[in-house]
Amino acid sequence: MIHENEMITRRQYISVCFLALLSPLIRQLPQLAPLIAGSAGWLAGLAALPVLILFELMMTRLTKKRAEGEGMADIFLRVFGKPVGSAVLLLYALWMVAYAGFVLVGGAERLLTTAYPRGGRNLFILIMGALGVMASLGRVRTLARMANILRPLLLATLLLVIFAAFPYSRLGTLFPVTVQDIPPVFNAGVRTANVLLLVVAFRFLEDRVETSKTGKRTLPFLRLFLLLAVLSTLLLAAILANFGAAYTLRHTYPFFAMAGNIRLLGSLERLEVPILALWAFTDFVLLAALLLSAATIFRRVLHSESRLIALFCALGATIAALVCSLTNLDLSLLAETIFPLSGAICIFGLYPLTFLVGLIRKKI
Amino acid sequence: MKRKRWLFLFALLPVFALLCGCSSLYTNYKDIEMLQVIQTLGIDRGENGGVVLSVASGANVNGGEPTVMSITAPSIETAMEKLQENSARTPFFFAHTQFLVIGEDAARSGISAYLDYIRHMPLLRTDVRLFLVRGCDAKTLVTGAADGKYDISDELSSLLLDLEHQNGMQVFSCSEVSRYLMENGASLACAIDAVDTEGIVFSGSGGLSAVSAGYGVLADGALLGYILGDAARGVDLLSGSLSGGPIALESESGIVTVQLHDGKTTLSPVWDAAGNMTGLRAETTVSAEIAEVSDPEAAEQPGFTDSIADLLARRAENWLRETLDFSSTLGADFLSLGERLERQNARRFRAMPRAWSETLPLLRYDVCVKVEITGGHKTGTPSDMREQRNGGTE
Repeated sequence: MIHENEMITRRQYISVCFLALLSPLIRQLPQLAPLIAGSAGWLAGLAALPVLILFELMMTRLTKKRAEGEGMADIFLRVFGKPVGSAVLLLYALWMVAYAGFVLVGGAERLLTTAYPRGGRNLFILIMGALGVMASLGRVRTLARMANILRPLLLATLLLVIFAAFPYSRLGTLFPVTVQDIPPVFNAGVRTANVLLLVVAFRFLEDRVETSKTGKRTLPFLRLFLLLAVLSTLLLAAILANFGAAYTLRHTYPFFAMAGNIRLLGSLERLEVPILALWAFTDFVLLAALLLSAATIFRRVLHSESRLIALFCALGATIAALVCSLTNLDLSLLAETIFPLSGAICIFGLYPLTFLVGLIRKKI
Repeated sequence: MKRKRWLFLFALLPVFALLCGCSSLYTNYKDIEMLQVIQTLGIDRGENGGVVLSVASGANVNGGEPTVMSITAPSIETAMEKLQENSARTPFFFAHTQFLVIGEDAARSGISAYLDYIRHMPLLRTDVRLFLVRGCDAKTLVTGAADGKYDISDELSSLLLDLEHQNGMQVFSCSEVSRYLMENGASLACAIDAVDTEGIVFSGSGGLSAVSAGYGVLADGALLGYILGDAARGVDLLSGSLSGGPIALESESGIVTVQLHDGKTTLSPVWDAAGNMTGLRAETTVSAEIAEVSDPEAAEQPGFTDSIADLLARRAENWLRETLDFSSTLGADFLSLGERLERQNARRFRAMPRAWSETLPLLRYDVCVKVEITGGHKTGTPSDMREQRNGGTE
């Protein structure tokens, strides 16, 4: 049973989800949308919306009969039974820890590529890993409050970069969008939904969320997905109008390359570095949320409230990141294939399967 | 609780070790007051595939001499390193570089490697403006334009303002050129001449100066040729960016100078039965005003304005034809015609049996220019007042 002073509001919870998603949004979308859909890739965010809405409706049905104090882990155990459910949950938790490690090494790589080309990755991994340890040992409430405070700042920064970049862009290159572009745009939309539905991993923290007066859990997520779809569309439109599809793909981080070219008030330049520093917060929130979710799953499956579980999750992620860094593992393989594919298996495989099995066995 | 407090304090101790300042942790730390901000880079081809890198800092706000240096090295990165070693007192700071000047020889060999370096190097912005030096190397211009107070950076800043705001000429950035090369296989870049300023009574800097020559045409990353002088206005007319500049016309009544205001072109493709594009109709409207006449009396004659409009229309038609024919002859779509025509009718464009790259060299052009002379030059005394005065004196 969660203590009252561990509970967070739904607004704070959505802030955690929003901030955590800003990290993969900036890293993955500007590469994947033009790669699949070319200059029409700016519509990927809007094309993802139907998939996101359908998924959220499925999740609402899946969690409809959730009892007071029951978490997402309990639903899995109820649907699959204890042995299979535990195995599935443990695998999923290990995936979250591995992904957290990837977030560490990916964030370090972004800092080096964008601002510190002659720096070493390991120092950044260790510092962020140490912060991850502190976050995972801390309370969800602290993370949620921090996310709630930072949300307007990050949103304003993103909108500032997008709109400040438009004077340098050629909007005409976003058009025309023809019937021939529909299949690749839809494909890009599904891949975008795969990125944004990472948020489903944080549903394991939802038992800490205060129930709203109306009891509605769907609407806040639908609003979040709508916001993210609009932001994705604006972001991709700005990047593609600035660089075009082919040149965008030559950049490792097109968002920061675009931010580096904007000039405010005729004198403020090279803003990509402070913006990069701000985006470290999104990495931190994503890392912390993944570790806390993984720790929640381990605690539930192993029936232990020990804080060592959270510590091991954080250390596991840090060690995984250091191993990637020291062995010079191909990050593009992780970023473009392994994690998107495994994430898609979880999102489009595991959850629909849970839903179907739950319906068939009348467990939901 | 007491134990937790001690643990917390103990954990805090390593943090104090990090409060010693950036200079103790990072070996590439530089004091901001010591930085020498480089505004212009010049690149030429060196021996054995190397580069000659020239740098210029621009006018020094403290009144000192601008920094101008040049060095030969195997690559741009090693050249920057060597320059830093040779100026230990004032480390160079490249983050605010505004201009990239490439010599003609290097441009003809190919600039893709330089553009790629700009793209991936976080030290440099991708929107650095690109200039190609005609008939000269970048080192000569960058080092030769410096006097005791100003250097090539100030020349290029002034030139940029003049070109973009006065004449509507486009000065493309490295990211724009890279983008067009990737999308169209060809691009334009602003071409400049290195001019000896001796003999000019007053100039901002001594020695050499940079003046606009027109546009350089790049295809597959290498310089193929130039669109020079007034013909460069054909590019601006086609792209709709023309916004000003005087043109001297030779009429029957002497030299007439018109000031261009703006111009835009509508392109209409001509299709054959098989769905291939066989021609292009360019309809251009130009608005201008008569700024100066050498024979004011002739300017009062009826039909004068129409005759000037005809002259200007024929001149503009020549600019457009020259530019379009150059594009067809080279087979280089530096005007982004394909992108523009695709936007107009994507279905038909994409359904063409013949690829655009094969279509461009075969296109026939039909150019029609309409000129509107607005406002204009007012001649001296009105003729009726002149008659009255003559009548009075007699």
